[in-house]
Amino acid sequence: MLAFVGFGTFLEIGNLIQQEKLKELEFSATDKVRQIVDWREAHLRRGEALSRTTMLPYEFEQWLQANHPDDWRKREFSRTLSELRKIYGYRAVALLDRRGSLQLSEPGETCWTPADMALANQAMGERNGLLSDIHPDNEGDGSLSIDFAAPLIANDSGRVVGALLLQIDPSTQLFPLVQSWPTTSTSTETLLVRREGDEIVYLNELRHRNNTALKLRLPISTPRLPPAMWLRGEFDALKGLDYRGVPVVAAVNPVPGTQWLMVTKVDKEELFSPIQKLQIRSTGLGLAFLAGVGLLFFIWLRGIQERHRLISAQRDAAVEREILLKHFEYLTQYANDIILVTDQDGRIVEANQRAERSYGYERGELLRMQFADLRPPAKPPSFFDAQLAQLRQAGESIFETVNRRKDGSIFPVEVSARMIEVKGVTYLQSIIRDISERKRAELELRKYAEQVEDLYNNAPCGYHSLDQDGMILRINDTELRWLGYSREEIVGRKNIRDLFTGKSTQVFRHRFPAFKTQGAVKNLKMELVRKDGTILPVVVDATVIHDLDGNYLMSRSSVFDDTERRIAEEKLQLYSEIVSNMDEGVVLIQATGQMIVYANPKFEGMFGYDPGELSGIPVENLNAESDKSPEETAGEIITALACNGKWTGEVLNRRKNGEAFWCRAYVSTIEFHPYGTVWVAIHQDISERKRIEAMRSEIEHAGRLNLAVEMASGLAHELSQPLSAANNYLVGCLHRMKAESWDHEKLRNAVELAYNQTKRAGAIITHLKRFIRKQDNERTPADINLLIHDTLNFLEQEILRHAIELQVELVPLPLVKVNKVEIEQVLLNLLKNAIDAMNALPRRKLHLATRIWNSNHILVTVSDSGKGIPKKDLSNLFNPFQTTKQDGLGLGLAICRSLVENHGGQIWVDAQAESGAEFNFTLPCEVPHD
Amino acid sequence: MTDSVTPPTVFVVDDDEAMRNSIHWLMESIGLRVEMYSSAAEFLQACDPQRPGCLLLDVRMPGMSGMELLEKLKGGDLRLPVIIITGHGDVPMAVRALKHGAFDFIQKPFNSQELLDQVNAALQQDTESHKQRRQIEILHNQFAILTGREREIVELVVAGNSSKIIGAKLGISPKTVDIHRANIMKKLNVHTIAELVQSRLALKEY
Repeated sequence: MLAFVGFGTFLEIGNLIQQEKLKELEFSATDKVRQIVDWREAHLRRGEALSRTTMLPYEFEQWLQANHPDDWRKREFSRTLSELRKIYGYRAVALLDRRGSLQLSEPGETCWTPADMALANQAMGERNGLLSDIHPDNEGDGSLSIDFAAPLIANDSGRVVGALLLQIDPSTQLFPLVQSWPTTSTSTETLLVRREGDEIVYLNELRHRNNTALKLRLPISTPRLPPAMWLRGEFDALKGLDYRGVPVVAAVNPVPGTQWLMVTKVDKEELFSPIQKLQIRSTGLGLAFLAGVGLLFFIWLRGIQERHRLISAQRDAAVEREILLKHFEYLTQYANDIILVTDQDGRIVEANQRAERSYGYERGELLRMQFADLRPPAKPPSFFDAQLAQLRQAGESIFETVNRRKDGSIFPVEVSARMIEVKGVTYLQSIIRDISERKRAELELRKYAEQVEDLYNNAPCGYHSLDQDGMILRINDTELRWLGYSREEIVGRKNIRDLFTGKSTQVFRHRFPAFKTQGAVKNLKMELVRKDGTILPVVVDATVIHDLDGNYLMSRSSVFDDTERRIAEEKLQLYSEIVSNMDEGVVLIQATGQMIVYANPKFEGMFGYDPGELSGIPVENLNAESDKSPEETAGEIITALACNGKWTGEVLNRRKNGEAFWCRAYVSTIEFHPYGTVWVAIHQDISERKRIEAMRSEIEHAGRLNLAVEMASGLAHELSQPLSAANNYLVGCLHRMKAESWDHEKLRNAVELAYNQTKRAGAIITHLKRFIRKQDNERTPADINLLIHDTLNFLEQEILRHAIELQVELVPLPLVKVNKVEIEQVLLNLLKNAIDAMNALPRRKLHLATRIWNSNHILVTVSDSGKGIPKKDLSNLFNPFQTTKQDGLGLGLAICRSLVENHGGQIWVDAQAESGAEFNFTLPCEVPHD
Repeated sequence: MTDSVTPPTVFVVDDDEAMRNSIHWLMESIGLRVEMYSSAAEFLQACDPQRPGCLLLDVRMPGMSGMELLEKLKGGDLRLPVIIITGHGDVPMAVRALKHGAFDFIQKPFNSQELLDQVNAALQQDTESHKQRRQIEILHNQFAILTGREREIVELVVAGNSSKIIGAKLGISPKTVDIHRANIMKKLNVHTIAELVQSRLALKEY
């Protein structure tokens, strides 16, 4: 009987403990669920903050519109992302554009899956931050991820410009929340599961089994599995068998906003271990009584029953008190905040574990300290007293301050203080939260805001915002600096119209109304007037910011200094104008492929093409064959351009109608963006010049050849006078002498006059000789080879016309003191004779050679392949008036001999020559002085 | 009015003194009269167009050139034959001179005998033309003393009319016509009708 009663009591106590444990479980479970919900909400709020409250969306949109260049903005985004990642402990962060394609990722090697992208797209679509479920990490190493996507929403237009994608590692961020268990227990466990079809999937690593996250799956039909029971709607907290099949007491709570179930459980065995001893003991006691004094006990049964009822009631109260105490203890000891209780004098009378950890003092130390000791010494005690007085008056207060750790370091705290009364004694209870993390985040945020502000103000472009009338609402430092105004002079005082030039004001008046409805304007060229009256050319991009109802709120304009570009543009226009109107042909040729990419009107006209017709034509189409092939010329030009970047020379070109003409071309290379390396060729039509040159050379040539004839003619005229006169006298004498008698004196006189006339003729010739000599008597050191070249140049046309094969063999010669004109005359005569001698013969070969002769003379040989000289003529070849030519005077060789001999040389003809004639002349070298 | 009593003169215009003097010596050697002028202007001032002779003219002269003088003379009443003396290379100019009525041209240096021959030829031509001019002058004077009636009768006779017809035309008797004819023949110093007709035709008109 006693045993039955004992057992019944035991059961009752067990049941009681079970109920209490269950309550505690449920309490903890609710707490956990709240923590998880808080955690989620913290994320979503953070996402919202990132979405809307930063400059990020605006800058990002600008950057995207600029075709995402690798500029400062990109670096800024990367920096922001990596800071986000560091501050909040994300595994990876990414920026996506509006179409959901990845723009930036931090760290760069992170692998994002289509599911991640889909999440981002969904977030953009819903304009809300979204958290994904737990899923295996993309890396495939078994780790888990939760993805978080936040749309980037432009502040002004409310337009979604992209998304932030953040990867959370649940094992470091979420699971600790789930797994930490505040009391020492060998079996208590919190776990997250979710339903997938007919299975229950365990989301986290379990306490009693490894490698379970997303891997352990149990059918929903498992009979006594707590979450399975819960899902089937037949949950009994006390009947559960956990995944190991061990009997447990469990609580199941859905996590709001997720598909998750939170299961909190403890093994029944642990739960009942305190009453196990009691069970054994009471059983033994029961048996002893049963065996020895059963009867006695039976008589006192009622009394015992009565007494037991009393004990039981006392026990109930004790257990209850203990549970409450435990609960309080739990709350205080394991609270995440520091809890300090101080008495009236500011002495610490109670401190929790968190306080020990946070301040670094042992509990014993803390209880010997004053509250003021935790303040940094910089704060005067009076400050603390004042605060305390205020607190006493209000009863409670929440404020932020700083506290000091044992090691002297300072950390920011939020203090929630309240006056409490226990048994008539007033205490100050302070719940102190370490907010260094929050402060740090705040500081980061402020720093970021400052950076953004700095970016706004010191951006390389101007920014301003206008209200609907054009009044300036905001303006950045850069633009103010450009204009020379202070912010006070502008904001709210100036209308943008006041800052434009008259012309720009008109443009503004004309375009502003349309802009307000259309919402954007780009690349608008305007002119602003600086405070000092000078003009600042700018390019303006502007967008309209609408309110939620779509009304114009304000504009936001980016202003770019356009001075340089406009100067460059004007210059460009000027250059283009110059090129178009140049009197030289200008053509641009793309180096690769050698296609014409531009030709100015003069060039087109020069080549006979219609405007624009030359573009895309290979330049070789314009080249004509001269003594060099177009390929050779092109090769020469390319080599020169490679060596020194330019080439100047004459090229034979071909007009559209096939006519060839000479151009002088100046070719240089430039790098020109759309075409790469470009040749700039300036062409000058020199066909006319060439023609005139040829003509002039012809005339000069003819003139010089006629010089001798002219001189002979003049000589003849001069001589004819005295000769005729002498002739007259003498014939007159002859006639008179026919008579029988004649006046001797008169005749003698006439003969004398005739004699005088012949003397006069002689004098003319002497004078002439002297004149010639005086004219060109200057002798200078000369290289005979050079004289030969000059003379050959002079005769070039003649040689070409007669198609004469020219062979020149010159050896280096010492300088010879000569009259250059005279020696040239000699060479000219000999060469001319040679050319004439070969006229109309099939073989026309002219040979010219120089060499040293007898060690102190130079020898010049001119030989031809003509008919040669008849033997009879050889003897008086060099005498005057000996000629075989129809129109010759026969002076040429005579003059040659006189000139050569004047120079101390000799001239002779080689009769041994088998065919043609070979003329040689020598000139003495100057004997070098010692 | 004297009949070719004036001896012909060779006029020499040349700026070269030696040339002038030597030509003078040459011309005198065959008994010709010579007058010398050193410039075209000097010659124009001194010369009498009526005097017979010929002109030797050098083309190249300072001041008025030989060609200019030639053109000026041919525009006036000078009838002298002109021989142009040219230097080397002046042949085209000489051709031009011939076109302008020069008698001939001679090129320097010339053969003196050749010059003499040409001067003689020129003088001969000048004498001829002088003779003709003299003859016409005489005829002119003879015809000048005819009366008006006599001139009418001369024209009709030259036209081949008989005395009878002339008388009928003029309303006078043939006998009166014959008397006039006899007077006319006497005045004109002709003896036959043929001579009369010849004289009248030589005169051409008056």
